[in-house]
Order: sequence, then C-alpha cells, then structure tokens
Amino acid sequence: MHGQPGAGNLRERDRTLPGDPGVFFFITADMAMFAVFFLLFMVGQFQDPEGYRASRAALDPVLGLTNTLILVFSGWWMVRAVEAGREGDWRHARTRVLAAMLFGSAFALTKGYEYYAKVSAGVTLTSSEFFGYYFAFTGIHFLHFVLGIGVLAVTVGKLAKPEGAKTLVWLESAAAYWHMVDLLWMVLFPMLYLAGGTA
Amino acid sequence: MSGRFGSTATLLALAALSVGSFLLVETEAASLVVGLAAVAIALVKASLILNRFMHLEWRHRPFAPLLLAWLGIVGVILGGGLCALPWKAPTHIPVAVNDRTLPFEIIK
Repeated sequence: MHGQPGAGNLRERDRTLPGDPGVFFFITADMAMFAVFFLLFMVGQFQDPEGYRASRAALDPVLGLTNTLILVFSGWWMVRAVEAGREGDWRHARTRVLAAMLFGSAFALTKGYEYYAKVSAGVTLTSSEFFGYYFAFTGIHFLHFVLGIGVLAVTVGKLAKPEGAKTLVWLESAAAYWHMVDLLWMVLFPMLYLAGGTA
Repeated sequence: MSGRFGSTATLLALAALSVGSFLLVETEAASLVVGLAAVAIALVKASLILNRFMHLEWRHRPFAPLLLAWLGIVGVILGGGLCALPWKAPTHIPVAVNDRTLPFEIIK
C-alpha cells in the first residue's frame, strides 16, 4: 500500500489544517464548555475547601495516573496512524488505529472499576458537591471517550477501503477528536485527583 | 523533530511528566507551590498534545490561537483557584527541627 497513487498529494496536506474545520470547531466549542466546568469546580472548591479536600482524599490518584498513561499511549498510536496515512500506507494506518482502540479501551476498564468501587463504597453523585462534579465531569468525559471509540471503529472501516485525501481528512479529524479526549483528561487529572488545599 | 522519533519522544515526555506530577503531589506535603506545579505540568502536557500530537501550529487560524487562548484561560482558572484557597505552611518540618534543637538549647 505504501506509496500508492495520491500519496504525494497527501503529504501536501501537511501545510493545511490537520483535519476537518468542522471537527476543529466542535473541539474548540467542547473545550470551551469544559473550561466553564473547571471554573464551576474551582468556585465550589473556594467556597468549601475542607469539604473538597476530604472528598478528594477518597479518590485513588494511582487510577487517575493509570488512566492518564493509557490515554497518552493510545493517543501516540493515533499519531503513528496519521503518520502512516500521510505516507499513503493505509494498512499500517489501520493497524495503528486498531492499536489506539485497544489501548484506549483499557481506559473504560479502569474508569469502570473506579466508578464501581466508589458506588460500592456508597459514594455517589449526591454524596458531596465534589463528587457531584467528579461524576458529572468524568461522566461527560467518558461519553466523549465512548463516542471516540465509535469514531475510531468507523475509521478502521474507512481505512479498509481508502479513498485518498478524503480518507486522510477523516483519519486526521478522528485523531484530533481522540487527542481532545486525551487533552481534557490531562487537565481533569490534576484538578480532581491532585491539587487542592491543606487541612 | 518530526516523524516517529518526534512522536515517540513526545510520548515519553508526556508519560514522564504525568508520573512526575503524581510523585510530586504524593511525596511532598500539600502546598500552593506543589498544586501550582501540578497545574503547570498539566498545561505543558496539554500544549504538547496540541503541538506534537494534533500537529496544530500558529498558522492554523483561528483554531490554534483559540486553543492556545483556552490553555491560558484554563491556567488562570486553575492557578487562580488554587491561589484563592487557604493554605497552611507544612507543620511537620518546624516540629522536627524543634524536637531536635530546643531541648539542647534549653539544657545549655
């Protein structure tokens, strides 16, 4: 597949936006929404620092770190997939998107375990304001993750029958969306698990 | 840096920064400096993802400037939020110093 007709033109795309502008518009709007979430959380923490600190102590930062590393590694596979796609190497691009899906799926397992452990211990959305935000924000992020897995699955299908630049735009757009899921977690991780006031 | 080495180096940097911020918070007493460092590391990681993974550059307008502005705004929200919290100086260090020094000073 490497060097198939059109591959040269695909490399020309390196000078343009890496993906569909509509997808980047969605990403920008979505990230703006999360910025509002972060503001709500920090205002809540300012009003009740002790309550937030006590609730945060119930979270397991090792799980948060594990999820961070899973998403980073999965994102790296998507970067490699785009690199292959830009070379017109659709077979490797497809394999790497599959690898991104596989590693990314581990996020669902660890997040599912974390939710299960919390709910089993009686910690729910209504336990405290902190946990209200925790479940809401990580839940919305998780929905983005599930949508991302679906997008990656469609991408794998499209890469089985590549259509040149059209497929590359789809691949780059899927990768941009997947990196947004990764990026948002990079901020959620320290905000929810690490940084807070002292007792 | 571009190509496989560039993305692999970015992966390693992201993983090292993630583990680093975790260890920083886990091993150091909670303080404003540690909290701000964790936020700063998160923003560096986010900018690495924008630049090295998404391949967004300044010429990709308006999205690259908007997303960079987003990083700045989030930095202000998180950093400002942490600065507004009540922080106490770590108490274990002065206590340890007092335990070792005060009795000897008194005996003298």
